[in-house]
Amino acid sequence: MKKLNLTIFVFFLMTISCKGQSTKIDTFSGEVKINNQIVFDEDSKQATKNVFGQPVNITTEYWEMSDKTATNYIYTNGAKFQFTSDTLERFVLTSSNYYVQMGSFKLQVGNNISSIQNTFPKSYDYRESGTTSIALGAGDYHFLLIKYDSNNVITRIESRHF
Amino acid sequence: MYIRLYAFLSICAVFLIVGNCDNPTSQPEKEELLDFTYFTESQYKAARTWKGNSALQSAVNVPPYGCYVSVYQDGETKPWKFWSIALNYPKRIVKKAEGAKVKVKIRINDVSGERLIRMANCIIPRAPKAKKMLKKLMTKGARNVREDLGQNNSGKSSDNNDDPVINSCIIVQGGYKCPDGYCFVSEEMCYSREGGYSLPEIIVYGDDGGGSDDSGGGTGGDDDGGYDPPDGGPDPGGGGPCIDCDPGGDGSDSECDPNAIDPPAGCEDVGGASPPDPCEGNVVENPEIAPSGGWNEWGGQFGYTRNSGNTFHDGTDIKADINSNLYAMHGGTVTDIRDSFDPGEYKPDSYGNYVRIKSTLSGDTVYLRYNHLNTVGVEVGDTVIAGDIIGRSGNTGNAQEMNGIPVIPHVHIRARKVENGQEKRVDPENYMATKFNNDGSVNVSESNCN
Repeated sequence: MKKLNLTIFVFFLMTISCKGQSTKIDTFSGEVKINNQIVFDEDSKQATKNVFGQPVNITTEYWEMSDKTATNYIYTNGAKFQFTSDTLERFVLTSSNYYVQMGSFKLQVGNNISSIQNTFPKSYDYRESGTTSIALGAGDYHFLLIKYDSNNVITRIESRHF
Repeated sequence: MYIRLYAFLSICAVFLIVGNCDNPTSQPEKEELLDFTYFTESQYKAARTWKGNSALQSAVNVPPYGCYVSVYQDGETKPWKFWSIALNYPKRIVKKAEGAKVKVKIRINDVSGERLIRMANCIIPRAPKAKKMLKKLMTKGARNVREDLGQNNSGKSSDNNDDPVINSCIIVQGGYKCPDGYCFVSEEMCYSREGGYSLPEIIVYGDDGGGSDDSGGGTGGDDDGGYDPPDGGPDPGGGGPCIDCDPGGDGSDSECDPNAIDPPAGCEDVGGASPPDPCEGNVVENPEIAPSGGWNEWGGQFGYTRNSGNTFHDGTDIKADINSNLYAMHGGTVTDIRDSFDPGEYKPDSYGNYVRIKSTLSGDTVYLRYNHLNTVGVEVGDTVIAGDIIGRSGNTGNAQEMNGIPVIPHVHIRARKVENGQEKRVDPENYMATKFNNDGSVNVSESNCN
C-alpha cells in the first residue's frame, strides 16, 4: 500500500513538473525595464518622455483584438513604444541606445546573442533563423522576440503579446 | 465539294454537342459512361422526363463556370443525359479551375443503394466558351438536349409523374488527398418523382485561392424541388482547396489540381471518397482548443483566460493547421471579409484576414467571425450553409508563430449576439457542436458531435 501511495505521489509530482516544462523557451517573471527606467506593462507614458525626451513622432493606431487605441511614441534613434492609456504595452528597440533590463541581466541591441546563454539557456538553444524569444510573466501573453544577424549580433528586440 | 463540307460541318457539330466535356476520345467513352444494368427502365424514363424547371434553365443558361457532361445509353447516339455542372463557389476560388480536365466519378444512388458507374473526365471550359457553346446547343435544334433541360421541342414542359421511382441521385466526385488538403471535385444531382430537381452544387478543390476576379459568378444551388439525400445516402462532401500537393517540391500548385489523372507525388487517390466534413457547428473536424502561448491549457477559450486571468480573450481559438480548410459553423450570409493580408503577415493586435457571417440561431441574430485566415474563400453577400468552406486557416495578424513563441496554428472565432439592437460579445462555444471543459479538453457528454 505504501508503495502504491508513493507511486501515485511520484506520478503526481511528475505530472506537475512536466506541465511546467512543456515550453521550449525560458520565462522571465520579474520586472522588465527599458534602460532600467521605463517599466514595461506599467503606466510609463510620462516616464518615457521624461527619460527619452519628446518623441519625434506620435501616432495612434487601433488595436482591434484589444479594442483599444494605442499611442505610438517613435524615437528615430531606435525605439518605438506603444501605449494603451498610459500602459506600455509594446516596444521595439533597434539600436544600442536602448536596452532591456531583466533583473540583473541586460539585453541590448549590438550584443552577441550568446550573451543570453547563461541566463536564458533554453531560449538560447532554441535559436532558429535569426530569432529566439523569452516568455514574460505568466508566459501566455507577453513575449520578447530577439532577432540577430549572421554575425550573431542582436539587431532587434521587441515585445509581443497575444 | 459541298457534300464533303457538309459532312465535315456535321461532324464538327456532333463533336461540339457530345465531345466537349467527356474524354475527347468520346466514342469508346460512350459505352463506359453509363452501365444501364444499374438502371431500371422506369428509372431511365424518370430521368428523361423531368418537369420543366425554370430555375434549372436559368442556371444552365448562365454557367459562368462549369462544364457539360453528356451521358449516353449504350448503343444510342443521342445523349441520355446532358447537364451542366455549375460551379457554385466564389469565383476567385474556381477561377483556376477553368480549362481544367477534372477527373470525376459518376455514381448512381438509387433506391437500392449507391453504385459506382465509372470514372470520367470533364473539361471545365472557360466562361466565354461555355456560354458560346451552350448558345449553339440551344439554337441548333438539339432536341434531345432541350428535352433533357426540361422542355420538349415545342417549349412546353414534359410531365410524367407516373414513374415509380421516388428519387435517385448522381454523385460526381473524385480527386486526391494530399498532405495539405484535397484536390477534389464533388457534385450531386438528384431527381424526384415530383419532378423536383436539385441543381448540383459542384466544388472544385485544387487551386491556391489566388487568381483575379472576373465578371463570372457561380450558379447552382437547390431549386424549389428540394431534395434531401436519403438517409445513409451519399453526401456531396466537403473538402477544400488543396494548398500544396507537392510536398518537398517547389511549392507550386501546378501538380495539385483535380484535372490530373494520376495523383501528384505524395498524394493519394481517394477516388470518390468525400473529404471529411465537420459536424454542423464546428469550424473543423474534431476541434480542439489551441492553448495560448503553446502550453497554457486554458488560454484559448473565451473570457479572462490569459495573463493569469488578467487579460480578456474575446473568442475561442480552435486548432487548425496552417492552410487547412475552415467550414462555416452555421449557415448565413457573409457580411464582412478582410482579405488584405498576405499569408503569414504579422500585425500587432490584429485579426488579420477574416470572414464574418451573420446567422440566425435559435431566433437570435449572431455574427460569427473567423480570424487569422491565410485565404478568404467567400465574398460579402455570399450565402453559405453549415459545412461550406469559407477559407483556409492561417497566421495573419497577431497569430504568427515566431521562433520560440509557440503560437499554435488556430482559427480565432469571435461571436457577437444582437440584443436590443446592440452587438454583445458572447462565448463562441455557445454555437459550437463540440463543447469544452475549462481546462480545454473536450466535454464529451455536452458535445453534440462525438
